Formats: sequence, C-alpha cells, structure tokens
Amino acid sequence: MSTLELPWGLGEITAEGGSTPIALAALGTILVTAIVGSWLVLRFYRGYRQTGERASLLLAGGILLVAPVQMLVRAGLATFGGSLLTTHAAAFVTQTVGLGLILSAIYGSTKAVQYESRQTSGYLGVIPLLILLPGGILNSGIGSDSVLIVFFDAVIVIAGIFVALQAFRGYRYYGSMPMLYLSIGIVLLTVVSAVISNLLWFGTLWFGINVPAAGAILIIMITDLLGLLSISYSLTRA
Amino acid sequence: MSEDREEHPVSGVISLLDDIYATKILLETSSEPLSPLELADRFDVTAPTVYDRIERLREYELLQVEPKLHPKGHHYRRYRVNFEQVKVKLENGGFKIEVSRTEAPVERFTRLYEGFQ
Repeated sequence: MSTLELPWGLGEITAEGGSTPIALAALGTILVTAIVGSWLVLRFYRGYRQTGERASLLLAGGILLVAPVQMLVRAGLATFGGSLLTTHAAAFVTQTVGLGLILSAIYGSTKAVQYESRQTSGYLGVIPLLILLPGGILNSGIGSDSVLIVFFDAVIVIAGIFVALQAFRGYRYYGSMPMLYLSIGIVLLTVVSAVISNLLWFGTLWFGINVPAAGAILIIMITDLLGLLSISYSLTRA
Repeated sequence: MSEDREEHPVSGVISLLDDIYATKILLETSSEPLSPLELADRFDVTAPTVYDRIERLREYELLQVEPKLHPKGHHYRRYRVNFEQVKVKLENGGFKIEVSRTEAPVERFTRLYEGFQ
C-alpha cells in the first residue's frame, strides 16, 4: 500500500479500493461500532423501562453520544472526505453534548420538582451554546486550525477526566465493577483518544513524523473502539 | 390505600407520609439501608405489607435501592431514604409537591448506571 497523503480522511483509503488492509480494518471498526452501539441502545432502553427515571434516559443518551454516535459521526464524515477540522468539530460537539447529558443526569435533579411537569435542568441550557460555539469559531476565522483542535480537545479532556473520575469514585466507594469499566471506557474515548490525535497532529506538523493519514485515523478509531468495548463489557460480565 | 393506583400524585405522597408503615420504613432506612425482610422483622408485620409500602415509596422516588457495597454479600436489595425535604405548595390554584434529594452525585451515578446491567 502506498503512503497516503492528506487529508486524514478515510475517503482517500476507500478510494483506493477495499483491498487495502487499513480500509478493511476501518470498515470493520465501523461495523463493530454499529453492532455494539445497537446492543447498547437495547440495553439502555431496557434499563430505562425498569426504572422509568428521566435521569436514566439522560445518562443513556449521554453515553451513546460519547461513544458509538461520536465514532460513527467521525468515521462517516471522514469517509465522505471531511477535513480533519470538520471531523474533529463534529466529534467535539457530539462528545461535549454527551458529557453534558451525563453530568446533568448525575447533578441535574438534586432538587426535583415533581408532579408538575415543571422540572427543568440548568445544565441542559448550556447545550445549545455548545452546539453553536464551534460553528461560530469556525466561521469567525479566528485562530489557525491547530488552535481550534487544541481547544476542542482541551474541553473534551477536562470534561472527560471529570466524568471518568466520578465513575471511578463509584467503583472506589461502592466496589462497583461496572463503574470501573465505564470510567476506563470514558478515559479511552475522551482523554486517550484526544491525546493521541494531538500527538499525531503536532508530531506531523512540527517534527515531520510521517504517520500515514489512514494509519492515524485508524489508531484513533481503535482507541475509541476499545473504549466502547470496555463500556459494553461493564454491562455484561463486570 | 394500596388498591387505589389512580390517585393524584400529590395525595399519593401525602397519604404515604400519613401511613404508619410507610413512615416507619422511612425512619428506619434514614439511618441505614435495610432489606424488606429486615424491615418486616423490626415492625413485626408481614413481608407483603412491607413490599407494598416499598413499592409505593419508590413510585414517588422517596425510597431508593442502595448501591451494592459488596457484590457477593447481599442476596436481596436494601433500601434507603431518597429525600431530605418534601414541600407542599399552593400555587396557581393547585397543590404542588417538591421533593429535595439527598443522594450524592457519585451514588446517583452508580445507581443509575447499575440499573442498565
């Protein structure tokens, strides 16, 4: 397989035909993500039906956005030739909204106004802002791509560490193995994934480390996939 | 009271707080998590009565399942109080009930997530 040039999209690889091992691996990753993602949806729906709590729904939606939805959005955009920045921005929005939902599930209704359907959550109001923010920054043309990518990743890393820490404390305090695997999954999907993509991005930019684009994307996808598998494992054997 | 499933939530909560077994369950589980059988022992009532009140208290989220402390230790669920304050307000020509929670965020996270297992 010849070394692929820019963009870091899967578009280039698939254009080469399905014969390259990396393209096959990427397609396999997408397939596995879709399957595991659907299984998670069923699991979460069943859990929600049992508790009937609105917070369960928020938590489920949040985890789905952070893991499978974000992975499919990233892979989908990359396949249709989205630039690194667009792909990153889309993944950023999806993951930030997801982490926001998880946080609102945990903190949202410490004071629940029940039986009057006037229950509001202050955290949810931030979501439209988070959706508009990256678009606004992109349009305003401030900063280079690199600044934006670092900004996106910094937000994800901070929020990811925070949520993963809460999950880890759930393991520490209550000995809950599912919470341990959930926290590992969140760390892989947010922190590790973002750090790897930054290392690859700046490694290429500054030090001329020549990581093939397709390979770089594949590393990120595999990291995310491991995170997704850790989350699904937490709901089965753990 | 257990037959009347259609009653208004406001009167549902109020009648629970007026029910002798429901209030006993709340008092006992406010200091430590207890299983239905332990509760039945303490009040010297039948298990079905306790289960009925637990079910009704959970319906209004006044009681919650305790996250597992030692996965192998317990064979049955333990329950604990899930609120700090219940406020009844007269507003816009109707009654409204507000329940303030005591559950810590990490506890809530663990309980919600384990609900998916």
